[in-house]
Amino acid sequence: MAVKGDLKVISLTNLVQMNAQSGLTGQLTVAHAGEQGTIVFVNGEITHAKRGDLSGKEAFYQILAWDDGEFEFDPNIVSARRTIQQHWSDLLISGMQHIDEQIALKPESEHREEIPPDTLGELFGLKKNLPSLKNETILSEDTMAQEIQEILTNLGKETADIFTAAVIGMDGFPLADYSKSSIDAEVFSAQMTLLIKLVDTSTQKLQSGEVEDYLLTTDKAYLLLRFLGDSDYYLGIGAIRSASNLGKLRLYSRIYAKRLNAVLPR
Amino acid sequence: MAKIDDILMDVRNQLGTEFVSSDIVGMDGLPIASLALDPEFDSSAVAARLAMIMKLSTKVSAKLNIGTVEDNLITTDKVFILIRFLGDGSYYWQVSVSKDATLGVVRMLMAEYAEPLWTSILQ
Repeated sequence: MAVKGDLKVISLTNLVQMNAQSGLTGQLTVAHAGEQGTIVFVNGEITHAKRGDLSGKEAFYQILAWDDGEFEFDPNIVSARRTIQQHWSDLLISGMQHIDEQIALKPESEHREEIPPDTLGELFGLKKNLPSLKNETILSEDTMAQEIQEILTNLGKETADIFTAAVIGMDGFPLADYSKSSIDAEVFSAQMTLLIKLVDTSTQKLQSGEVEDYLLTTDKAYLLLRFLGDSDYYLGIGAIRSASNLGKLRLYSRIYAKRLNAVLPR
Repeated sequence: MAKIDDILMDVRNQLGTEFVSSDIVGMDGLPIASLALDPEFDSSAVAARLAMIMKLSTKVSAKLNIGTVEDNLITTDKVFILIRFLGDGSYYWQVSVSKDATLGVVRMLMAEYAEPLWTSILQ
């Protein structure tokens, strides 16, 4: 049975995420301003997208930018055509980046008027008044600290398995932190900084490239560290291993790093 | 050591073109077996550096009381570097693969081959 709805009630990013996470198979048809786009799901993976003559990733990105219109998901329509190979989460992140880039290219006056539906925020329940990823608004130090704290709190509440999250400077001091455990934020920050500095130096010496993230797995926990912006700060996340999904944890770290990058000073 | 070399070669074959290098290293930082795509690859430098990371990660985990270290994963813009302890922790195993590799498969392979490697070291 087909499911129909309005994009004002549920956004396309949420819809795509729900379909993917539920492992659905079928075709999502979206009608917007007299146009039509289709996105095909096979066992939760996005395998094909089409808008007019365009197909594949580009078509998906364009459809994802539609913030109003109607949709219909029909599990009985399955296309064997495969124009998309990327994992759905990577595709969704790229799509949201694409939307942000398009907005950044618009003149500033249009920009302010048309701050998009806060796609990442919408997905993860953040407040709508947070700056968009490309918004160059200069924030006061207090506002910045508040924003970072708020983002970390949202990240911490994302899943029950995250027991600590912090934005840490390369001097080893936490800029802001969220914790559900008894681990002291300053001890956590200092220890994590020792590790990430050694990892960073080692990869540089070995000419293995620029570190993006580092994951330490123990029998009880995951510790995931991801550099932010120009690498003066990093995001540190601790999660209970038995309750965590590693793929989801890495996805959250990427998404929230983008949000933190938008707030941190450049 | 022939058996260890065979296992590393088997892992390399399974990873195909994504394979970059692999080493079995003692916690003294000295490698006992190495395999790399690049013939000029300096396995001794990698071995020593990664041994430092494994030692520090063990100390940090103990300090934070978050359990016993099993593995480390470093993601750079060029490669994934996976490092895991073998057996009683006196040796570690590193596998580097290109960013095109499927991380889940590499982790699965390492989990599968860790025990045979440790058995081979003991023989």
